[in-house]
Amino acid sequence: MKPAPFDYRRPTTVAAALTDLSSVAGARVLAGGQSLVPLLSLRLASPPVLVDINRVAGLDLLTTTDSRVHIGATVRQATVLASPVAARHLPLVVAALTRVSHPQVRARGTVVGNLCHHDPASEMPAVAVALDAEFTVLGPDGTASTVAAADFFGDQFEVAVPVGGLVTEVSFPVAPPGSGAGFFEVARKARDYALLSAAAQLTVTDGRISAAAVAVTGLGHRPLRMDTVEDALRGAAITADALRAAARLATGDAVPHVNRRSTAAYRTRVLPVAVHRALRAAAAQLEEDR
Amino acid sequence: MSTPTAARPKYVGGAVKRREDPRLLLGRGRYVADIALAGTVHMAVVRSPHAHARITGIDASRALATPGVLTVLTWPDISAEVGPIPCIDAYPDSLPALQTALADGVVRYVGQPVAVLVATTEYGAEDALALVDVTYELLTPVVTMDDALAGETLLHPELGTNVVTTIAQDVGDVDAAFAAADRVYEETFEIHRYAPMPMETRGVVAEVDPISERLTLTTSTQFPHLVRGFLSGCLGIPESRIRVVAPDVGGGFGAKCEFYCEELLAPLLALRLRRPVRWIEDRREHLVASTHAREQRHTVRVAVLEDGTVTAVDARSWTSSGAAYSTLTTTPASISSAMLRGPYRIPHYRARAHCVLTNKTPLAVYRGAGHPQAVLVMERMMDVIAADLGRDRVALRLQNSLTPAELPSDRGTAIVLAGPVVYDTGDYGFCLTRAAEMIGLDEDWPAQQAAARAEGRYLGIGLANLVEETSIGPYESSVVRVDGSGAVTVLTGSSPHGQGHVTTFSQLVADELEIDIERITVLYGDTDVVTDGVGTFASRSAAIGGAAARKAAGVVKDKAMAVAAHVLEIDVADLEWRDGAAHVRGLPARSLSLGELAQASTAWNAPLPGGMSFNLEGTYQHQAAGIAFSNATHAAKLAVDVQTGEVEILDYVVVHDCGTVINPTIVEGQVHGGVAQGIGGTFMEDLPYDADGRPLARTLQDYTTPTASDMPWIRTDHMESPTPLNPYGMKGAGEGGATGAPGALVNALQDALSVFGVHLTVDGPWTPDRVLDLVPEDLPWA
Ligand SMILES: Cc1cc2nc3c(=O)[nH]c(=O)nc-3n(C[C@H](O)[C@H](O)[C@H](O)COP(=O)(O)OP(=O)(O)OC[C@H]3O[C@@H](n4cnc5c(N)ncnc54)[C@H](O)[C@@H]3O)c2cc1C
Repeated sequence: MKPAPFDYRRPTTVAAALTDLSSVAGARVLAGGQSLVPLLSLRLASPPVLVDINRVAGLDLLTTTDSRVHIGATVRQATVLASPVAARHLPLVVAALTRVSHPQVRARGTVVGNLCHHDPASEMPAVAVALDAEFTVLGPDGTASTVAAADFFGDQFEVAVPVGGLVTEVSFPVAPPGSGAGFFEVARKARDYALLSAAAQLTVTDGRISAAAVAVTGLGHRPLRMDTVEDALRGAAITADALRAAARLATGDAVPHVNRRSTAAYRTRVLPVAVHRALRAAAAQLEEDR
Repeated sequence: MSTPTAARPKYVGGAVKRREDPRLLLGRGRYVADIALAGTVHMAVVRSPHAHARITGIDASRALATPGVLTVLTWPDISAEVGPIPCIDAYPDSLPALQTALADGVVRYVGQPVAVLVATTEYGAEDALALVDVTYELLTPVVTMDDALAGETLLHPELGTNVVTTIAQDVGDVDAAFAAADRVYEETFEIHRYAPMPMETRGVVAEVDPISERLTLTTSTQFPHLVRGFLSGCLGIPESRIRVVAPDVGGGFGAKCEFYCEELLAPLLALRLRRPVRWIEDRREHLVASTHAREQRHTVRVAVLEDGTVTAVDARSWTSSGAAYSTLTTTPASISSAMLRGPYRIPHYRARAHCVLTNKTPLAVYRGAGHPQAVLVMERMMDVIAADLGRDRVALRLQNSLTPAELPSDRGTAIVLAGPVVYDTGDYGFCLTRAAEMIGLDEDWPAQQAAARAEGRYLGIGLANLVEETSIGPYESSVVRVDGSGAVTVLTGSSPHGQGHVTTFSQLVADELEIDIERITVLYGDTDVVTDGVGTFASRSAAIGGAAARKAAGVVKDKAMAVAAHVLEIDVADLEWRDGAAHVRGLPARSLSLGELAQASTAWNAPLPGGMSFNLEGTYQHQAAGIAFSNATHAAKLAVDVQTGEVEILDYVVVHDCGTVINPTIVEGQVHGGVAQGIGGTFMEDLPYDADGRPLARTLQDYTTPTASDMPWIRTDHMESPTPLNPYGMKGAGEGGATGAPGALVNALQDALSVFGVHLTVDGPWTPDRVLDLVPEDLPWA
């Protein structure tokens, strides 16, 4: 496992990083390296230049502003998991991240890198889509734009970042009071990529569901928001029957996985089950908090 | 002079902590990849991308024109100098299908070495691989067992068949037993292909030693002494001109009990280039270039009397041996055919085991070799018969199990390289009864199961009994040496790859000499340090190698006594050995310690009497008197999530008997590791091929192995039936975990899902999607 030759740059400012990324066609951002380095080793990717952003100032911040939590591009998955801010405000992010790989990998892997990699079997894109996460994307000339999660994820392994561009952060809305988060996945082994994963956040106001956010990954090539399930839940009281009935409405087109071995038929069959389990977990968290 | 103390506690039988662990856990191990010799150049192997093809051309000019590339070799460049890769377990009538170090014009599996190149850097060598242009004419691939048996395409047309070995085992009068049977059961079982997957891949460093001008090969192997012999044979160089070193080896499980193309190519290149040549297998290579395992089909017919007595088994098996013989090719088929009946009497038995060529990576041994397959088949049959006769699963097994009074029992079968199967000792019924009791398989179980099912929980308990060949010969050697400080060095020919030899061998020698374990150093793995040895496989090291070490320590002790008698000028009969010293009987204060006796026998002293050699050293070669058979019962309890197909193992019990236990912690570790591999094979690990013979598992993302998080808590219970075949009663313990797990787990899955009319005849991998396929779609949600 030996990567093809590449040039290595380690800028310390965002401006320098953008310059390095534009210097050669095919230059690639290196964050935690937990997805990119295996690709290099397998020679499935052979970028001419790697731009290591780990020393770029200001990207390692985890901050809370105007009811959103902002996670900088070099913030490690482990840092988020250990953060009281995330525990308090981003219960769904925390629930999903505990299912992302092992502590060793999370100690290096970043949340942003994970989302930019956009493996179709990855857990976090479901959370990003469910919660309407926002990405701050810099173009090669430094112009910043905010991209909604719904527009960020393209086909598998593709995201809306322009050539020579960079994501500086992802932000998630703070979970409103009265929210419960639930995450469920089927995987071949503990902490493996998901065969299918479902993320759900339910907010209850005056005994009824005022907001429901539900999305899945693993079914198709991109994360899928479960609109029909959300619609059925909105306004309902949290009862076992309501959750079950809503979950049964989950539908979507399963496609064969690139390299994970589970059939499309399997994932279609398990879809409502996964959604149901995620909803039940969200309801259970609400119950606990009460 | 030492003074007598209270009786010293024995190490053997104690849970002594592994002496090698601090070093390994602190990252201070030294594996092949850690070895850096000045001037090293790097080998890379051009491998076949096709399952079956004729090579129409190899053009290395682009690679050779690249700076840093030193040489590219293909088969014609080396064919005059190297013999084929040896197979040591062929039967006299096996047809020849040996592999050559580089493809001889036809490639027969994806990953087969086609050309080899050397460059000055590892990365340069990898870059150059893409610059060797090979053209192929595709041939029809033989992928499945049915393809191979149909024989329309032959891997070696000159042989006239793809079936290269057929092993026969005949006991009693099978036909008469079937004629007299009340019921006959027939099933066909498919066992899938998976692999040992050691954490450390293979690797070699070869160099011509500048001082002695001998060839030195450092390789990640389980048997350096055998590699020395193979290399000598293949290169035509005397063994005395070859040194083979196995440094720390990060797991082998059978995959490194082989002699591989790269272990021949690197030395050849080192000889030609006169520079150290290094090659470290990467995981992608490992998945196609290191031996695979397990894949077999079994068709069994079983004759049973109305009272549940199993009278005969008529068995046929086919092993998908891959594209060529490996070093140990027929062993899995041989073992499964010889051992299929496990602990059960079954007086009439016939087996025909076929080794079949397919366009896949060569298949060889993996922890348990052919045992796990045999156990799965026999134990599934026991459950099938019990269900059909309406009998209790435990009772039916007990009824058919050999009792201690019936042992020793000549089973009438034989295992290649090992010899006749004669069960020595064991109490199979005890282990079964105890395991059933520990897991909770009693008359209440069906009611518990039904109650859980009413709540949507599908629970199952599965059992598997096993008897396994361990401690095979022919021998192992050991040298024990004492220096003037009283420190003891033990040399063993059995080279470990994670088994804890340093600890167990120290325990044995420490007890023999009655000294502290810390005084002992154990050396192995270098054919120049330990000139004679056999290796670590077939659960043989502790029993055979350990016995040799303890016997060698006994030789040292005897000599020490003789030296003491000489120094003290008394009769040896007036001395006794105690606490690491020779004591004068009746004069407790008068004694000579091991160190003092070692000093007394060095060259600085007067010659010893009777021409006794200088120095305190003893050598012993322990020859195995026969195969010792260990046994165990595995019991697994699991829950199936009938909505997702996920399986959770709730409890796992192993009651086992490996004769005298040297170190229960190490034995338990062996059991746990083996069970983990059984869990992997049953639920996750798989080496599927597509219709073109291309392997689909190309990385460890595709090939899923269990981790600590996937392991259940395993409860073990030990039973000790010492074997008379070993001077210390020891049998082997290395493979039983892997041997029993698939049978117990598949039976448990069957038990959990039998309400759906499921009838499992496949060993796995029972991934969630396959499990869910067994569950009706219209099942109400829990
Ligand atoms: C053993 C193992 C198990 C794993 N299991 C899981 C799992 O179960 N679920 C899961 O989701 N993941 C899993 N992963 C992947 C892991 O979560 C990675 O950390 C993550 O996918 C990538 O994050 P990274 O920071 O390491 O990014 P890198 O590997 O450095 O980069 C990944 C990709 O994103 C791009 N990129 C990174 N940062 C930016 C940025 N700021 N702007 C633009 N592009 C960027 C890179 O160019 C690259 O293409 C596993 C990894 C390993 C090694």
